[in-house]
Order: sequence, then structure tokens, then C-alpha cells
Amino acid sequence: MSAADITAEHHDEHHDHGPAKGFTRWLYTTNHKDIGSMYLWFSLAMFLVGGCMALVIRAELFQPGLQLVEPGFFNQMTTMHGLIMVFGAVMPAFVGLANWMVPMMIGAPDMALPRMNNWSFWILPFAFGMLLLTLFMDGGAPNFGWTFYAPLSTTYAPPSVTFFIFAVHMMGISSIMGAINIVATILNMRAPGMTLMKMPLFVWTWLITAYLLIAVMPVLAGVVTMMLMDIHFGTSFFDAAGGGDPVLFQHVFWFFGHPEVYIMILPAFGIVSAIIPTFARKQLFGYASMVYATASIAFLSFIVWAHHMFTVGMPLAGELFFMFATMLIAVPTGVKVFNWIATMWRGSMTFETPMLFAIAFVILFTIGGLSGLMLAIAPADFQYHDTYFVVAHFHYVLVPGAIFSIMAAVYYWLPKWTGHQLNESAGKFHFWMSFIGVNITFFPMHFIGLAGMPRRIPDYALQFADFNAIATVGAFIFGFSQLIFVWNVIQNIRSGKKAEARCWEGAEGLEWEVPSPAPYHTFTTPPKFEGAK
Amino acid sequence: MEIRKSILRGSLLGALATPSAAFADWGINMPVGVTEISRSVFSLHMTIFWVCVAIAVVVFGVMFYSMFHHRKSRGAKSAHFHENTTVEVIWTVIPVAILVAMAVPSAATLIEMYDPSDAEIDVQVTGYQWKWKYDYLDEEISFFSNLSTPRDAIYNAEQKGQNYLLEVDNHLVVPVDTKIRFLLTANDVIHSWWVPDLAVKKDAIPGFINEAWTIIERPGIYRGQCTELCGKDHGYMPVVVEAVSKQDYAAWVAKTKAEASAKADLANKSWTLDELMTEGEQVYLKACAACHQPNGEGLPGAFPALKNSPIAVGDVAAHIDIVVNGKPGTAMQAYKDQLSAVEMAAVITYERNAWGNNTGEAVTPNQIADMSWDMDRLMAVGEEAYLKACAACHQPNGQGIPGAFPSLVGTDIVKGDIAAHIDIVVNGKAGSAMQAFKDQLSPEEIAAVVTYERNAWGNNVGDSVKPSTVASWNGGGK
Amino acid sequence: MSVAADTKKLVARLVLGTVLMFGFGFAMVPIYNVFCEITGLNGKITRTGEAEEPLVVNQDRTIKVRFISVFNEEMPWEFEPLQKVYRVNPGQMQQTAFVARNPTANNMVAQAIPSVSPSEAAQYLQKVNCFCFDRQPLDAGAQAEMPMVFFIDPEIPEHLDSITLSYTLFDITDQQQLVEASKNNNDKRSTL
Repeated sequence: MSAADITAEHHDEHHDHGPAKGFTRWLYTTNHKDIGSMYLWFSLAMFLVGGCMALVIRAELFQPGLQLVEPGFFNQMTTMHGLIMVFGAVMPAFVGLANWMVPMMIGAPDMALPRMNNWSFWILPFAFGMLLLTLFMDGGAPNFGWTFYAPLSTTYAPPSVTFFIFAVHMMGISSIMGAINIVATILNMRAPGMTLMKMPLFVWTWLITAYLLIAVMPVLAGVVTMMLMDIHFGTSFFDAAGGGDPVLFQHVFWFFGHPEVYIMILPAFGIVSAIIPTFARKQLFGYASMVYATASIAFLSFIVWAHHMFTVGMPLAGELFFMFATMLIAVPTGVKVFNWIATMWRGSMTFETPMLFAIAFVILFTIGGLSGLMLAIAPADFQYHDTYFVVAHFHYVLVPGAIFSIMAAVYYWLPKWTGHQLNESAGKFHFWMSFIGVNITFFPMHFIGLAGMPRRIPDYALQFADFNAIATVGAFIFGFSQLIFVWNVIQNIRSGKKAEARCWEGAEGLEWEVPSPAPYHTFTTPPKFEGAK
Repeated sequence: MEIRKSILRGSLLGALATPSAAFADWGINMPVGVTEISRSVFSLHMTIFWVCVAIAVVVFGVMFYSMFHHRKSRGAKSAHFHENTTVEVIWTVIPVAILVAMAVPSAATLIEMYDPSDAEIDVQVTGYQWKWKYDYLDEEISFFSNLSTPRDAIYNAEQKGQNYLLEVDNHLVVPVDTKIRFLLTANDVIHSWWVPDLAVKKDAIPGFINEAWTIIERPGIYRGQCTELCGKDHGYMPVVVEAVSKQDYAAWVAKTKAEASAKADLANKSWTLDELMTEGEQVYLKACAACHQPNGEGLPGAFPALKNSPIAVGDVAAHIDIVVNGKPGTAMQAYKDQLSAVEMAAVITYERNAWGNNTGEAVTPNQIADMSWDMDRLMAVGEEAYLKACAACHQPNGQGIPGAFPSLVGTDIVKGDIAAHIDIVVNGKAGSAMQAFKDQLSPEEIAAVVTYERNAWGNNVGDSVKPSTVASWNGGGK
Repeated sequence: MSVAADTKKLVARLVLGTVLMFGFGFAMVPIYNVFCEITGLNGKITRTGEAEEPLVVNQDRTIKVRFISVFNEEMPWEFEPLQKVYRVNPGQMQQTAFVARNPTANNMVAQAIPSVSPSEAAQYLQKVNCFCFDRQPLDAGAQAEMPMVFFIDPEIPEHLDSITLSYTLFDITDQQQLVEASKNNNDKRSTL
């Protein structure tokens, strides 16, 4: 591919628009790269906070009996860990990557709505600040699980639930504004020649994700609003006494919740679809089918929600419908995995850090997908439901799935952001420690789940002891190896060999046409995109 | 027919996994269970498991082959193909075929599980924070089932037993080879009742009723847990089902009912003076007349008279005491282990009203029962009951959890009006997490726990509550 | 600039979409209730009303109907079905009652919430007259018999031979007082 009118000379004319100095640069910035960086730093901070909570959980579960924390605090930890990782770590990281990369990938000078962009980021620190402060309230932080089922989260909730509701509202507003911005950018700001079916897959997956966000975040806002009204204004949406129904809560929540899990994985598909072709030095196999598969996964995500609720006592017809619809998701997901492998097939592969993370993604995400297929079988799900088997399943798709893809993306694009080549040995060390840690942590959870250990319990029967001890060791390996990542990123910002514009041999796309580090303003004059070679 | 075949195929595949039986012992696989349904579920599980393994082997095999052979360091040059409609169609159709093959036996098992036909035994299962209540709907048997693992084991102060966290005070006893229906509901939040060996897991939802059924094939004790997060002690409400033979079940039902009615008689029956007199005469003739003589005049020099004696017409408490505990150094025995409370009450009443004693006083069985409840016993039993029923919220040190559960140290409820204290434990407090314990604890336990709360942790109020006060509690004259 | 205008239009549409989806979240409540009513999902029953024409009683089948009472939280009332199990022919009108007693020293208001299992039977259990339609006040120490009349729709499928109807009794005294207090306030305001 080639792009005419690259930025260098245009950039010079605009240097009066360079970054301001000091804190106000970050507070007032409307630059997509600044905001992208802030999103990524924020998400890293939340990843570490949520990770510490996970380590508290694992440390308590190292041995049977209560050693470190009381059951009440344990529940606050599981709840906050879930909320922070989902809404504070994974989602902002993907938004950060979209901020940085989407304009550069489609040849746009910035996001379509730069000022709204600033606002949607700056809401987040306040939302999570409020959420974290509930830990110090009387009655403690939310303790009803990240799925906050009524009436445990309404009639029986600690007083902090009101702050939790407002925090969720703020996160929701932030996500919706971010999503609107991304849709507007992708649909209206593409360089000439960048037709929809020529867009990089990361852009495609984000476009679909943004539509999912716009469709379901308001439903989440709706369900927490109903909770708020039940708690404070005497309504009975979820209270049987007033003619409401606690099961209704679960239906509304999972109508949001299931698309939400695809919100956390579709951008990952896009990242992996960018990295594997680069390091296989071969064009992505089946581009069109990748787009259609992503769209069908998004569509199916709206009609499978009740597979999270197989045990609530739905009628047979409902169980059957949701079982079949859920199984169907395996088809487009399978297509994606096969396409990645076909991309690797007869390529010319090298295994730099981003590629290692991408390959680990494909393998471990597939394992998570296969256990998902097992969970779809409703009669068997009665045995799996709410056990550690489920915990293993969703951590396999979220940690070596979403999180590994984010790591891969950071390593892949870091030279473009900082202008410095990657420290490969540190990167590979980080990869192997994470890979080993993740598997030691989550693989044994399949076994203890099948053997009958329920999730969200602070203490367990003796037959689960060995595997829990192993999982805890793995969790500490995984947790501490993230410090290598932090060190590596900071080192890369400060020093390193100069990176070229196209710092990976096989990389394709507009973002590799601009120098490294990418200038503060790129593509102020749209490049002409002539498509893939 | 097709469905049957698929199930068969499933079982075959399951059988291929014979090592899994060994795995089960190490606790790394789903239990096969003891019902027809649990076996179908297990074979479905193993089938889908092996399908997944096969897919993984093929997919990862191709991938690793490619990673090994198509690497730049081995001089691989990249090819230029980037689509191929034929393969793409193939790898869409094959998964669909596999899924359809899986869907058929799964649907068949699901349909079998959804069998609403009538059952021989209906048990209502009610989830409470944090215990289960079982009502045998045709038997008038009803009880709570609490975790029985000692607190010290949880806090690592003593050895953990084999069934750590999976043991309860009252098992759900059911017969084998009988269709049992569970009708599930909850008292507060959503719980979920799970016994892996029966492959039964169903949510218990407040205000709604769900049903599940099972036919257990082998006697044994099957353990499970609550699987829906239900608050602080979600991890501490196990389920224990004890399957016994039909004869043993019938015997258990008879025994449980007899115990319950004996208890009810004692606590609830209001005895009239006449009834006590009739009963008391029988007892007197059986147990006392040999010494004190049928006419109550005793044998001078050997056995004292009761007619007009200071014991029989004087202080009633002293009279009860001597009958219950005997008089050391004399021939007067302690009758507490020989006579029931009803019998002792009757005989004392008889002695106080026969032979012209005519005090007009009736002694109730509850008064007798109270005798054995001195302060030490109340405190000891109270501590035990407190740790079982109250400590989860109010904490073992009585200090509660600020913002969630109030402290009991030096606060109004424990230092103030004793009637209000008894009432809140008996009837609960509307609009709060404080439950009514009248159906969960016995009157003795409630009396003990109130006494304990009023005197532990430096509260030292000094008063105590007798079980009879609790048994006849009617709101404390509110 | 046309891009700016396009963006404005697009954003307006997306914001509208957001608002509609927020509304949809709330709309799921009535949708769910209608859905429940049609399918008997979750054993909710709201079906009521007189049988329009005299029903044909099917003497060949009997259906076992079990009544159970459940207390929510610390609800202190005594509340029992007059008879726990009925065996009725489909189409046969059956009268029964629950006996409730308020043993406390306070006047209370209760609401009984019905639920049917298996849920698919909910649509065939028709209640002509039922105390569960109203809130039930009972004075301190008072006792009341709460009548209900029901019949089983003769169209009930073959495989349903046993139905359980539970009533969960909720203490709504506090809510009721709130409602009445605000009503009184409103009344006062209107008379002023």
C-alpha cells in the first residue's frame, strides 16, 4: 500500500498546535493520541488495582479455612475485582487503542468529536474514584457480585450501593460517548479510497463494538436506574412483594451482559487480525468472512442472554431456544480461528513478542471457546453453572483472551507511539511468565469446578485444596510478572534504539506510513489510500 | 429412536473415558452420580468434552505444524493466497454438523429432566440467609439444616474434619427408588440448591416456586452447596441429602414425628389442674407410694409424711427441686432421669393438692424443664447457639459490622428491657436483616442465647431467661 | 463543511438510538410481563375472570393441585391452606380458602404473591376469585378466612397431572403506611 501526502511537511505548518506543557496539557487536551495514552495509563492502573484484589482473593483461597480476610470483605473483593477489570481495565484499554489507532488507520487527522473525547475520558477517574472509595464506607463496598442480582443488590445491599449505581451511570455515559465518537470517526473521517471493505479489521471490529455499546450500555443504565428507584423511591421492579420479579432483573442485566462480553472480545479479534498477518508476512486470510463472522457474532449476542440463567427455572422451550442459539455462536467464532490459522499457513513466520501474545491468544481463547461450547449444553450446564468451571471459562476468554490481545497491541504499536524499538528479551520474558502463570492459575479451575466447588466462596471443602493452592501460586506468578510489563513500557518511553516508520517488516496499513514516534498531528491532509497491494 | 441412539453413542464415548472414573476419585471430574439423569448428564459432558478435545487436537495440530514448518528461520517464503471459498464453506458446514449432532442428545436429556408428572414425596426447600429449611409436605415434618462445622475448624484453631464445610446438623432424609419432587423457594434473596450426585441444581427465588425432581438409586450421603451468591455466608450453607431404604425412611418419619409431637406436647399443651391430678396420682402410686405411702403419711422414722408437710404446702420451688434433684444423704432420689417433665409436674401437683393439702397450685411441665437451666447451662448453650445462629452477622465478639449489623456490646437492646430483647429474637424486626428465630431455634436455645447476649462481652446485666418464658411468648404484653 | 454536517446528523441519530435503548430497558418490564402471561414463564399468574360459558368437566382426568404457603423474611402471621391437596377434574369449579391469623399486637397489611409450578401449568390454572388480588389488612390478633375459587382449564395438556400453587406472604405494612400517608397528605392539600 502507499499513501501520498504524508504528514511530515504538513506537520511543520501546524507546530503551533503542539502539546501544551504540564498538567493542563492532559486536562484540556483534545488530541486523540494524548487521550489514547491517558486511557491506556488509566486502564493499566485499574488493571493493577483489580489485580491486587484478585491476589487477595487467591491468597485467601490458598488453603481451606479463613486466614486473611473475613467472608464479607471477600465478597467485596470479588465484586470490585470483576467491576474494575471489566469496566476499568479491559474496556478503557480498548477505547485507548481505538483513540490512538483508528484515526491513524483510516487516515483521519483526529477523532470526529475531539472535545467530547476529552470529556468521555475524564469522567472515568471520577467514576472509579467513587467506586473505590466505597471500600471505606460503613458497610463496605458493593458485595453482591459484579452481576449484582436483585434482591441481594437492592433490599439487602450495603448503603454504598447508591454510589455504585452512580459510578455505573458515569462509566456508561463515558462508554456511550466514546462509542458515538468512534462510529462518527469511522463513518465520516476515512481518507479517500478507504472504503468500508478496505478498512483494517481492527477498525471493523471496533465499529461493530461501538454499535453494541450504544445498544446495550443504555440498558445497563436502565437496570441500575430501576435498582435505584426500588431502593430509594419505593418502586417494585425487582421485588416480588410489589408485583415485581427478581428474575426480570437477570433478564435485563444479561440482555446487557452478554453483548458486553463480546464488547470485550471483538476488538481483540481485530488486534490479532492485524498482528498475525504482519509476522506471518502474509495477507489476512478470508477478510470478508472475518467481517461477516464478527457481524454475526454481534447479532447472535443479542439472542443468547438467558444461557447465563439456565437454572432459574425457564420453561423447556426457552431452555431449548437459548441452548441452540448459544451453540450457533461457535460457528462464526470457529471461522475466525480457522482464518487465523490459514493466515499462518505457508507464511514466513517470526515470533516477536506481539506475535507470541497473538498466538497465545488464539490457542487459549480457543480453549475458552471450547469450554463455552460445553457450557452451552443446558443439561450439563446445570452441573457447571456457578462453579469454578465457569470461572475458568470466562477467565480463559478474558485474561489470555482480551488482556493478552491488549498486551499484544501495546507491544505491536509501542514503537509507533514512543519511537523506540522494543526490548525483545524483556518482552519475551514477560510473555513466558504470563503464559505460564495464566495456565497454572486457570487450568486447575476446570477440575475443581467439575469436582463441585461453587464460585464466590471464601472457603472450601478439603478435596479442592490441592488445585486451589496451585492456582494461587500461578496467580502470584502472573500478577508479579506484570511488573516486567510496566518496567518494559516505561523503559521504552525513556530510551531505546530509534524505530523506523515501518518498524515491523511485514506490517501493512496507514499507521506505518507515518514516522515513529507518530507526530502530534497526523494526516491533517487526508492521504490517498490505494488499498492493499 | 434417533435420540436414543445418540444417547447411546454418548454413553459409549463416556465409557471410552473409563479413566475418568479414576479421575473422579481425585476430584477432577464431574461425579457420575446416582440417578439415571445424572448418568445421562455425565455422558453428555464426556461426549462434548471429547468432541472439544478432538477439535482442539486438529486445530492446534495444524497450527503447530504451521508454526514449525512455515517459519522464516527455516527459509519459508510466504504464499500469496488469501481466500478460498471452498475451504471456508467446508469449515462452516462441519461445525454446524457437529453442533446438530450434539444438540439432539442434549435436547433429549433436557426434555427428560423437565418431567412435571406427580411425585411420591414432595419436599419444600426454602433458602434462608444462610441455611436451608426442609418441609416434608405430606408428613408435617419441617426443620432447618445448618452448617455443623465448628467455627474453630474454619478459623484453623482445630483440625478440619473429612466433611469440612459439607456437614449439617439435620440431613434431608429421603428414600431410594422413589420419585421425590423438590419445590424450591427462598425467604430473602436468591439461593440455588445443588447436589452434584443428583444432577439437580435449581434456583430458589423469593416469591416464586421452582421444581426439580430426582429418583435416587443408591443409599448414601450426598453433599452439595448453595451456588448462587446470597450474601456474606454464601460459602457456609451446604446441602446434605441422606438416601436410605424405604423401610428406614418410614422408620425415620415415625421417629421424627414422635419426637416433634412429644416436644409440642411439652411446650404447648396447657394442662388443667384436673389433668395433672389424674396423671399425678398414677405417677405417685408408681414412683412414690412405696415410701411415702398411698395416703401420703409416710412411715414415721423412715420416710417423712407429705400430708401437710412444709415441702408439699410450702415453697413450690423447693418442692420441685427436691423431686428433680433429690436430697443428698437421704433416701430421696433425684427423679430427673426417671420421670419425664410431664410426669414430674403431675406428681408434684398431685402432692400439693391431695390428702387435704389443697394448695390449688398447678405445676406445669415447663416449670420442671426450667429447673435444669441454671445460669451456667444457659451461658454454655447460649454461646453455642449464638455462634451457630447469630455470630455470622453480629460477629463472635458481639460487635457486629458497622453499617450492616448492629453491635450487641453495651447497646440498648441487650442492656435494656428484657421483654424487648426476647421479642426481637423470637419475632425478628420487620424491615431489617434480623430474622424471627422462633422457628429456627428451640425455646431453650432462644432463652439461652438471650441470656448469653445479656451477660457476655462485659454486658453483665445479670438477668436470665427461662425456656418456659420463651415457649409461651406472646409479644411480652405489648 | 459537509463532514461536520454529516457528523452532526450521525451523532444525533446515535444519541437518539441511545435514548431509545434506555427506554427499551424499561420497556422490557411490560414486555416481560406480557411474555410471562402468555407463556406462564416463571409461574407468574395473573389470569383471572369468569369462565364465559359453562365448562365441560372432564371426568376422565384428575389433576392434583397442591397449595403451599411461604413466609417472606420475618412475616409473623399464621397462614395455612384450608386443605393442602385437591384432586379436581379439569373444568370443575373448586372453592377453597387460606386461613390467616395475625398473632402480633400490631395491625398489619400483607400481600400474598402467587406462583405456580411447573410454570407451563400457570396458564391452565384459572382463578375466578382470589384474595391475592387485594392487599390483606388484619388487625392485631385477628383471624380471617381468605377465599378463592379456581378451576383447571380443560385444555391442559396430558403430561401435566400435578400442579403446585404457592402463596408467599409479604409484610407490606410499612409500604402501605407510606402510601396512605401520602394519600392523606394529598387529601389534606386538596381540601385546603
